[in-house]
Amino acid sequence: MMQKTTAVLEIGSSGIRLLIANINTGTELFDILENESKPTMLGSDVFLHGMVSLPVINECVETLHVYKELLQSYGLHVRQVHVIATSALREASNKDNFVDIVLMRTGFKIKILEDLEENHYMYFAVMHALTRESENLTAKNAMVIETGGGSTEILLIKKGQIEAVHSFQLGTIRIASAVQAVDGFPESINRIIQDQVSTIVSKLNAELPLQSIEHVIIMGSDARLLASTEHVDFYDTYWKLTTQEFITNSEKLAQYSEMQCIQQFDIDACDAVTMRYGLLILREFIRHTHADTVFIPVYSMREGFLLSLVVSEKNKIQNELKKHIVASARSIGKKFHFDENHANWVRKNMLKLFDSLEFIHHLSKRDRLLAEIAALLHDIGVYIRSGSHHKHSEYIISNSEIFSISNEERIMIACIARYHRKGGPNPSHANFMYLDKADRIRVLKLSALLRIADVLDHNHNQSIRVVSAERKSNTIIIYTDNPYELSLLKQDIEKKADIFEYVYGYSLTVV
Amino acid sequence: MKDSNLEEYYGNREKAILAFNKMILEEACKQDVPLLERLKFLSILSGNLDEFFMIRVSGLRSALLEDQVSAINDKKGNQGRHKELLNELYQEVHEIHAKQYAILNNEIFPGLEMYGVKILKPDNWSAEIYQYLETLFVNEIAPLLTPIAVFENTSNVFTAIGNLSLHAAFWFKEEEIQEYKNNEPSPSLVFIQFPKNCNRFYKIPTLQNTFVLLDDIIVTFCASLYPGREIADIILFKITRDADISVDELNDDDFVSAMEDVLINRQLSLPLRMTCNGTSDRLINYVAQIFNLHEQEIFRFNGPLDLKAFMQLYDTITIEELKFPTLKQATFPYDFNELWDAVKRDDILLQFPYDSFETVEKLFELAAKDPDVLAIKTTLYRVAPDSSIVRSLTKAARAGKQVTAVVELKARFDEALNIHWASKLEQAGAIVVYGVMHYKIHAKTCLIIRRERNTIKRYSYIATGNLNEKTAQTYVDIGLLTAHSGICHDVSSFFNVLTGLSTKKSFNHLVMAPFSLRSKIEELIEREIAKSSPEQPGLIIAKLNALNDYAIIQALYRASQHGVHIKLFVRGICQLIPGIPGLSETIEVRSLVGRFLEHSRIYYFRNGGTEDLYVSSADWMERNFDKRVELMLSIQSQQAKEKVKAILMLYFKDTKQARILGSDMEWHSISDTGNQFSVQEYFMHNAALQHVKNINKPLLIPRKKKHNPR
Repeated sequence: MMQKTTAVLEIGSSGIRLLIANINTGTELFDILENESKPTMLGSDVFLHGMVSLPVINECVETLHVYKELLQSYGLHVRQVHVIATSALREASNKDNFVDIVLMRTGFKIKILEDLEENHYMYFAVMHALTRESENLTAKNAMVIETGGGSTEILLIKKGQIEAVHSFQLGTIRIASAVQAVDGFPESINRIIQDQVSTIVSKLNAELPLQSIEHVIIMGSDARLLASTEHVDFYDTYWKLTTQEFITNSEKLAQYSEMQCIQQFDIDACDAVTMRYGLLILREFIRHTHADTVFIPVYSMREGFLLSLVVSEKNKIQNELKKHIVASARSIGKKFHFDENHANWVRKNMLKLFDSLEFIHHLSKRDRLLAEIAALLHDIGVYIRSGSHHKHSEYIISNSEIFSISNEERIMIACIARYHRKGGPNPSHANFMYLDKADRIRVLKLSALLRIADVLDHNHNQSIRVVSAERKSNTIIIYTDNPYELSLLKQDIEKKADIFEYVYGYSLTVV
Repeated sequence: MKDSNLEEYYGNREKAILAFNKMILEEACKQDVPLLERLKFLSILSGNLDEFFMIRVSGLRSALLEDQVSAINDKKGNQGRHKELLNELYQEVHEIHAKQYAILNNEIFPGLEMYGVKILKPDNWSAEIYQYLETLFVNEIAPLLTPIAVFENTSNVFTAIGNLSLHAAFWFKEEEIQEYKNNEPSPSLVFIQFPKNCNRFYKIPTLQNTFVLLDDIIVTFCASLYPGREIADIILFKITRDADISVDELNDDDFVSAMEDVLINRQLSLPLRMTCNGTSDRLINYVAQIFNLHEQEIFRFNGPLDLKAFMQLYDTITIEELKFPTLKQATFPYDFNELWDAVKRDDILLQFPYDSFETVEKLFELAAKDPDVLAIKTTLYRVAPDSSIVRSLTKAARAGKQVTAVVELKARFDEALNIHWASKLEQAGAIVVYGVMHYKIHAKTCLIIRRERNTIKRYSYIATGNLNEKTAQTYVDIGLLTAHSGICHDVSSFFNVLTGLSTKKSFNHLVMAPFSLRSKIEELIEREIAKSSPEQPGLIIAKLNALNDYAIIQALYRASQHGVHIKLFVRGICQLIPGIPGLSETIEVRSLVGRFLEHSRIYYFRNGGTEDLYVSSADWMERNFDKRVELMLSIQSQQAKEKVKAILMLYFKDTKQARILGSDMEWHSISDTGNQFSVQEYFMHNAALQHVKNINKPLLIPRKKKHNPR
């Protein structure tokens, strides 16, 4: 069990927010000490002009200095703080300079989160907050949604399994500027929002018809404000209300003037401006669903980030998360009509190989997950054309959205899939070259295993199962349950063992 | 049902202040109170009345001058009545002073003399004493005197005579003036300010408990400053000026220097009254005329001026029988090194002065030297001279801890002192925040951040009284030390707001003025109305120092009209009129003036039986709700809650010192011929028991293994 005090500083589009907490990896709980936020114009700068202006940079630096003082009172050094930035900075053309300026002037090292990473932390927050409702949630289709200044994150969950995960460029600050560009009448606001939402909805419907959604889980400060001010039923970590209540309340709050919002709800001026758009966007999405219940967790992405620090591998949420990641990968496979039986068979053998050969590869649990996804998706390139399908697989994977998988990891999966057949890497392979040395080795180690797992189901008849593996002097022996079938594949196996022998330095025998 | 909006249902604020001061005067009259304590009450009364003029009468006067009725914090709508009211007030103050000096001359001084305490008048000086004093005057006092000679034009004097400074004024014999006039310009009048750093009393070294007043020394020997001339008349006087001046925060960039300007300006503002003694009416009137003061603004005393200075006498004399017996305070029952653990076990509730303030001092001391303490944040309003808390904070800052002190420079009449030590703290490396714009920070709280086993533990102290070890000996206040994570989180957020880090306005366990305190109190009163039924009427009990907020009084009237029982303990000003049929029948207002100054603010709401208890730095006054940063804490610990409730209830049992406010807005003693109960005596008795218990605790406590029954 480890206890410590840690901090998450989030540079968002409308505010810079700080969370300081005592975390306990034993109990997997955290206790929030400070939860502060200061408004920033970062979002309006980036979403309107593409970059962060100098005055806003200076303002951010000043805010960070103030936070630094607060952090010091908890004995926290800048280096001990997790500084994350979301969509606004992600999209800024001068993000690298921003990151550097902040580092030079404050010592804070910013990590810019990818959109799907945000989803990952969002998921942690949701699962933690809604533990009590988990049975209820897995029985039905649900949508998790958060509308920020620059983007709307959506997770579609089909009976407890993540079906799709997206980040759309629809945000309150973008809407605010669009509204400003026209007349600003309420009808126009509604029109703009309706148009943008319906475009997104039609995309989502292709993956999971929104009419089948029965629960909506709403993240974000706008929804939390609505819940906390409108006497909604509260259950310690979340609010629960009917869809109709949400719609009525959001329409009511959307009518408040900015001044009224500031005075009545104790919120910043920036938040007051965007709150109404946020609520209207959410309302619009909800109207496209068939949901009867709305859940609003008390936690934000920041708490999700904290949870990801405390929750151990064995935790239920972690397990669930893994299931979701795999489900999300599987739904991509389905989209491209993969041979699901073959994919599953290869996946099982791949995992068996991974687990039994742990003593030679020394890879992590996370690598196991990447291996699993690569095994599931290695053949999806067939959708385009059977010839060179490994290259198509690489292309499709590297351009898909897999829940909770970062860019880097996606490239790794794409490479693992690519090298499941034909030749190994060479310097003209852009994706492979993009990876750093350690990751390249990981890719090779995993492709080597995938080649074996794949060749064992060469005939797509799911007849050979890996049983175990062992090392005898300089040879690795893999035992299977079907020596007869195996004998027919002898030559193919020999051919595909090339990378294995090259990477691990052992000769390979499959019996 | 009566319309609670009517002006006549709001008592007059100035009269309420005088009513309170009359209670103090009554205490000074009590035969069973030790003589020096009675003198102390008279001395407090003098200070209070000066303040009354400086702050309240000044407001009325300027309203009269500028016809700005709104300048007065009084919703009664006194338009046109100001003059009449002022006359009444002056009249009443004259009567109070008359009684004050009657007691002083007829009871206190003769009484003290029986115990051998003498203040020798010049008539009684022996040749030896005379000589001693003359030498003293020449060597020690005269060098500090700067006589201001006034020739024909007296206008320059107006600005030379500062607020509340004692002065002597004299003129020379008529024929001499004439004589000198023929030769060279001669002063018609001379003013001498009493030196600020001189004692008011001089002990005669050869005699025990025998003193001479500085007044008499100056009067006797000041002629020697003008050798060869003879003084015709001499008076002593003091001018009380308008002190209701504060910093122009909008136009002053440098707050600290602006504050220093205020201190200077206060010396030169509008004169409101002159207190004086001396035999020459002509001279008195002449001086009064210079300050444009009329007959009713002249207070002629048959005795020494400025009795506030008599506190020095109180401090010097050590005859036990003349003072209240020493208070035996309950001390912290554990080893101070166990303080953190003790607080973690449960909140520690302290009631000063019965509980020793040492616990709070030690808290700061401990925090300053504990290597695990990372940061200390505190508000400082009025601290004691050479405050041990400021010393600890300085030490902590020097030791590299983060020390944040939110210092209120605007604490009236303490400004100069505050500027001094705040800059000292800053030099030690502390982060000093000089208050906030437009609001006075009156909340009294502190937060300590400590690293314990790799994580953070926070401790906070929230009190109704200042972090001032001196006043904590005489002010009755509540202080709560807690490690409750929710409360500490709120206190932490509160400091973030004060240091400009946050714009939060609402918290879970704390309520903060000027944001939501007023609405919260109104909400609590409304809730009591909603939950009140004839079978189980609502109950509100409040102990506070002053009640003058119009909206709250209205809400209380409304609650009373709905049958809610309301028990108020208002020490000072109360503008709510109790006992009016159909309006405030269920409201009872009590007060108490005693040995200790009641200062704690405790609020109780029955809440249908759930019982909510709050302690606060705020009274129910407009200024507390709207012009100050205040805190109200909802007590969470059951044990602390019960303790506070018990304390609160006892105030309504007092039959000895307590008084009840009648619908005539005068305080009436409680006639109880039987066994009289004094709440202050009760607490003192309890504290003494605790004190003895703690003293008798064994010093060496063997660490035994706990028996573990299987």
